[in-house]
Amino acid sequence: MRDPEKCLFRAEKICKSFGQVRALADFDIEICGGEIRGLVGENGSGKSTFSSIAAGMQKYDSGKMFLCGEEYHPGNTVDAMNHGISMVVQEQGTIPKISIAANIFFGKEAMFVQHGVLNVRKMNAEARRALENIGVTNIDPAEMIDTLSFEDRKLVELARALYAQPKLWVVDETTTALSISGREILYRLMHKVRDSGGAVLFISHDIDEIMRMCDSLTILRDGVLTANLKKENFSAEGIRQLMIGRELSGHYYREDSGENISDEIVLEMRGVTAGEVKNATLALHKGEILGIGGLSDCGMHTLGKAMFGLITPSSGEVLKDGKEKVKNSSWAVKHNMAYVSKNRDTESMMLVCSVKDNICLPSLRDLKRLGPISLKKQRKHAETWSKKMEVKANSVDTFCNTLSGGNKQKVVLAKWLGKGAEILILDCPTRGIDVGTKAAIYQLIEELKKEGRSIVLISEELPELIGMSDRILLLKDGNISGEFLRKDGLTEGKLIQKMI
Amino acid sequence: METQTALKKSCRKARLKTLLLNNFSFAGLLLVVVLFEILTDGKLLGERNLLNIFNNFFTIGLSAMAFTFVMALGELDLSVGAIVGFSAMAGAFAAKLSLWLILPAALLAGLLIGFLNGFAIAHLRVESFIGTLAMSFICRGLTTWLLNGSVGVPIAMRAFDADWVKIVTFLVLLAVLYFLFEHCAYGKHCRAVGSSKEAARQSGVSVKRVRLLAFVLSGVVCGLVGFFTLIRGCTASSGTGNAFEFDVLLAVLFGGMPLTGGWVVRFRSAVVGSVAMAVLKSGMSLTGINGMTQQIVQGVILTVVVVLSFDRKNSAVIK
Repeated sequence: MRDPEKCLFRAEKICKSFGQVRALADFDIEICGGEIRGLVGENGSGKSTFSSIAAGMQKYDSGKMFLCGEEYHPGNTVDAMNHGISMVVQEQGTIPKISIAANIFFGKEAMFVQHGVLNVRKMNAEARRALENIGVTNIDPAEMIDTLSFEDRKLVELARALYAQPKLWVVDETTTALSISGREILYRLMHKVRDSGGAVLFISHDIDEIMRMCDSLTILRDGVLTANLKKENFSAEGIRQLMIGRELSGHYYREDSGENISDEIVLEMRGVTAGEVKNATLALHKGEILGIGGLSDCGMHTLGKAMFGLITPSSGEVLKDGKEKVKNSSWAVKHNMAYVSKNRDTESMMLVCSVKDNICLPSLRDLKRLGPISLKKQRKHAETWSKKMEVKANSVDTFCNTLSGGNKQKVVLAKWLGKGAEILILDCPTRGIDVGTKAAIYQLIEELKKEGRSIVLISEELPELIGMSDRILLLKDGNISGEFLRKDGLTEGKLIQKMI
Repeated sequence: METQTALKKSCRKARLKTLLLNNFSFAGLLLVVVLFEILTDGKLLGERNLLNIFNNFFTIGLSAMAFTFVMALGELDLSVGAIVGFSAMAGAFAAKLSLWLILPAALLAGLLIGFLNGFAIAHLRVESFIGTLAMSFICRGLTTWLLNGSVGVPIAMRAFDADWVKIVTFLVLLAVLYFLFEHCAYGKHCRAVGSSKEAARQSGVSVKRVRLLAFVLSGVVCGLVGFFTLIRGCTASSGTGNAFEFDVLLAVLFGGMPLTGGWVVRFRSAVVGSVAMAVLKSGMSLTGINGMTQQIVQGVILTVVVVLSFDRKNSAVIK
């Protein structure tokens, strides 16, 4: 029996449905002060639903929540924060076009009002203190939030969440947005909250991270609680099984040890300078998986965009098949190139739109070649490819904003497979995706390679690069700093040396 | 058990709401027709008045259909009325050279202004609201200045104001634009851009071209409307097409078209909304409501329609 005195937060029989989909069914959880509790499950299992309910972002259908023994019923996020529950979310949670300090103290401006006027200087000074509090000194709180990188904005969110000195701190999938140094900061802060008697509810897809950080673990599957584990019972295999409900086949990444790559070059960059990328020269061979890695701001994402013609290089050129220049993205799509962005929700898919229309979008011209685009033709095209990718949706008319992250990514991939792309540029294709879908995506990449398609895999995760690539290029401060071949053997140690 | 009934209830509620929203355009039309049919003692749908309604509908409907493409992009074109005036003026001046030049001149004028609109918005990244508003001032100014009063065309031109000409014109454009919107890549591209510009671009849509063309299309069709307005009154004045943009905007909103654009835009909104708008205008003049009150009524309708049809859930996505 746990000591009821120590119980900080308790939820009883929480239910929540979206239309006909049950996101949470009779979910119980009890979190004590001084613990870091992990919450894991596949995408769509209800973790984010629960955490957003606890943080007052959504209403629940039925059930009860208690905070420090008293019934707790948050009206909104500010209310939740006043009760001592704050949250950092997976996607961007800052408000654009206002200053960093204004972001940190959003909803709490009254603290700095003197005689009816907001004392901006005082607010900035306090914001600086809030940032220093979490160990960040290189951000000027008077600046606009838009000048910061995605990662720095996340740090601002951390500062905001921790300024309130929360009793329960919900960290939802935040690590995927952070680089290694950012993660260190996050981990340190989580420990700090725990050591000061508070609790952390930590949601992550990274099982190693969960096992390292958490004191106990709650596992969800399809909205139902499947297990509560204590640290001594943690095992990666066991957790995965509880999440998925079946045994995962052993192989996850590729198992071969590399072969000779074809000499045929399908895409090359010659002295490309664009954004952070400086004078990049590289070639993608037919049937090859080319991994591109580095620290998160090394320019690898820009590199991917430049390859696809989304960014026009200030000098140098991108050539397809050694002769034609990649002019822009519509040229690239026409010439069987595909690009999957790191920012799925804002860049690679239309959210308020059906699965069908998303899948058909790049292929509309091909569908039209045989007369007008009929609804039937579109539906057939969409059904074929969403079936192939095993998209879990009621029908192809389902709107994408109701799908889970993994399914959205499957829709994005289905769109490009349907177009018949020969060159695929995948920027963090498994970011924020559950293990089941991840495995499916790796398998797909391998199949595509066997069919002779060429793939550029940009990733922030070294195990993924090592597991999948024929060849890895590393970037450091916009320069290509190293090249490694699969057949020579790849290890994390070797790669990290060239990254930092 | 309890949760299940609650679930069913919320489902039914949601279904009712979608049903209402899907048929919003028809509901509005029905309401207007019944209301004015009663208020005018059946004169509204009398034979003579039907023709009157059709004449109102013809110009609004034409522009609204082309406007749909702009709306699908999530943009606005506030220069619609000004283009009508401007192209009517161009037609009137062309008539002095040759009567055959009236139509080409009007269309060309519309195309030119539409192109300038599109260029400013797609390439110079001017906000469409501002860009087209500015363009409407420029066109109005030019029209007033060049016309210096009004310029007429020979009365003989009224021969083209015949009903069959208008009906054929309307049906042809309806077919062409409907096909373009629903069964061609272009219409779908417009909605894709309205839904997410970046996703459309990354899926190979040339966003700039799509946006430019939508404004050109709107401009050309307004040129055509300018032509018909010119030959109906046989004169172009600085007042030609005045406030016409609001008739068109109100018509498409009345038809349930969302201001946010994207995949929820339907072509039928333009047609049904225009009919409703034409009935409303005709009904109000039949019942003798004066101009000032008409404006109040239109203002109230605009507010109600926007409140009812605006989907907050979908627009609340944090960017």
